[in-house]
This record gives sequence, structure tokens and C-alpha cells, in this order.
Amino acid sequence: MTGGRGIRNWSTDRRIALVLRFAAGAVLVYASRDKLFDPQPFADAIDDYRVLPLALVNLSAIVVPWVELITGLCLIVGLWAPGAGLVTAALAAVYTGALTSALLRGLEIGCGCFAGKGEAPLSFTDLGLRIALFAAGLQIAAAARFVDWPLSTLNRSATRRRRATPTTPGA
Amino acid sequence: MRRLTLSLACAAGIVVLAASLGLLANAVSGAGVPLIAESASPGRTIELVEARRAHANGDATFIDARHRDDYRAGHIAGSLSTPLAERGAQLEDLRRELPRTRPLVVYCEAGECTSAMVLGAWLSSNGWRDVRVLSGGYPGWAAAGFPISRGEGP
Repeated sequence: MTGGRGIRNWSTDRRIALVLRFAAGAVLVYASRDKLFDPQPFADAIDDYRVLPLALVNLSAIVVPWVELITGLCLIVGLWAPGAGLVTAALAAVYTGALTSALLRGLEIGCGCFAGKGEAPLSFTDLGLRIALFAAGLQIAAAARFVDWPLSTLNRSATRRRRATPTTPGA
Repeated sequence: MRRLTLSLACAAGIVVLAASLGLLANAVSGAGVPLIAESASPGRTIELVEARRAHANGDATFIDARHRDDYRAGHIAGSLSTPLAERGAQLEDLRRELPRTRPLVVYCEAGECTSAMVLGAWLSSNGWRDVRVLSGGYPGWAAAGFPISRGEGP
């Protein structure tokens, strides 16, 4: 019972969501930076996975980096954070599926995660990061406020603590 | 339930906004790509005469799938040596040197030899879109009097 309550508390804790928002937001913005205006290397990286029909490869390479950027920015500034959390979880789920499939098939390809080309061959570390991103996205979707500027969660927590602390007479 | 509906609406908003910005950026960027990628070539083999023409015009890169000793003894002029057993170690070099859209002609010791077939399939599975196996292989090329080289280099 205690364990279940602990997980429930963790999954709805806004302070944890705040930390995860910054972490996931930074990862997504960083991941998008080299792909935004030069989609060809990322298209090649997607094509390497051999899971998408060729007709969808370029369109994905054009749209996905911008989804990463806008989602990352929403997470960092705290706007539409639960929706951004869902998008993060969906992106991470797709990446996890593609990476798992490539690893199982023994493809010797780059991840394509942070840059379209010149990356080391994909590894279980890449897979672990995507799974962590998926969990972070779900937590944010469950816990974050729809409009929650970065420090307001901490301010509210501090105010609540001050109110709860009994004042010393004469202080 | 209301929270989930609102979250999904926000998620849809983010995706629509991102897709619009992505399409706009692709349209104005000098490095933009066509929305639909070009199809890969369905051909799997290339005849000697056509291969010779591509070789003379510099339209394709030739890749030797044989053992290095065979390559040193004689190979198609300008071809790269990628022995089948060393293909994994050479992948990054090949990626750096050969754009995915560059036509490749793979050959080995005979017209239907397995190493060229396997190397060709491996190159295709790693993203090169136009990979073909040379009919007749190196013996056919040399017998036709087409350009060959000897030694380590291409």
C-alpha cells in the first residue's frame, strides 16, 4: 500500500514535474538544433532504419525536428506542459520502437537522435535515454499545470512551507 | 477526463504549429528537401557496357567485394576495396565518402558471386539507394579490355 501511494505521489508531484520539464525540454531543444534547416542528413538517418515507406521519410525529417523544438520550448517555459508531456512520450515511444527494431535486426547505423549524420553507431544507451524520456513525458502529462512558468511551482511550495511553519513568539 | 481532453488538444496544437513551421522553414531554407523522396532504383544488376559508360562518365562508384590480395593483384580502375568480411569496420568511412544518392556498382570474382550480392544487399540496407552488381564481375571487365589498376590504391 505504502509503495503504491509512493508511486502515486511521485507521478503527481509538481516539483518532480518541474525538474523533468527542464531536463526533457533541454534534451528536445538540443536534439532539434542541427536538423531544423538541413533535413537531408536526418532524412538519411530515418531511411537507415528501414521502417518508414520512402514517401514518408522526407516529410518526417521536415516535421519531427520542429515538433521537438516547439515541445521542448513549451516544457521549458511551462506553457501547455501536459500536452507537451504527451507529445514527448509519443515521440519517445516512436524512437524506442525504432531503436529496438534496429538493434534486434543488428543494423550498423547511427542513432540520428541528436544529429542527422556523423554519430556513433546506436547503442543500448540511446535506447535507455528514450525510455527515460518516455517516463518523463508521462509524469509531466500527469502532474504539470497547463500554464506554469518555471519558478512559480517553487514559489508556491516555498509559500506553503512558510505558512505551515509556526511563528516563534517575539520573533 | 477533462484534463486528458485538454492535454490532447494542447498536444495537437503543438504538432500542427510545429508541422506548419517545419514546412515553412523547408520551403525558405536553401537546404530544403522535396516532400517526397526519390524512389530507389529497382535494378539489381548492371551489364558490362552500361557499367563501362557509367565508369567513363564518373556516374558511379565501383566497389570491390573481393579479398584485399585479389584487389592488389588487379581491380577496376578507381574502385574502392571493401572486402565482405571488413564491411562493418568500413561503414563510417563509406558514409563519409559516398553520398546515399551516389550510384554504386559492386563486383567480385564472377558474375553471380555471393560476396558482391551480399555486399550489395548490405549497402542497400544501410541506406544507399542505387546499388547494383556487375554482370561478369572483374574477370568479365578485364577480359573486355576495360581500365584496370594494380596495387593498394584505387
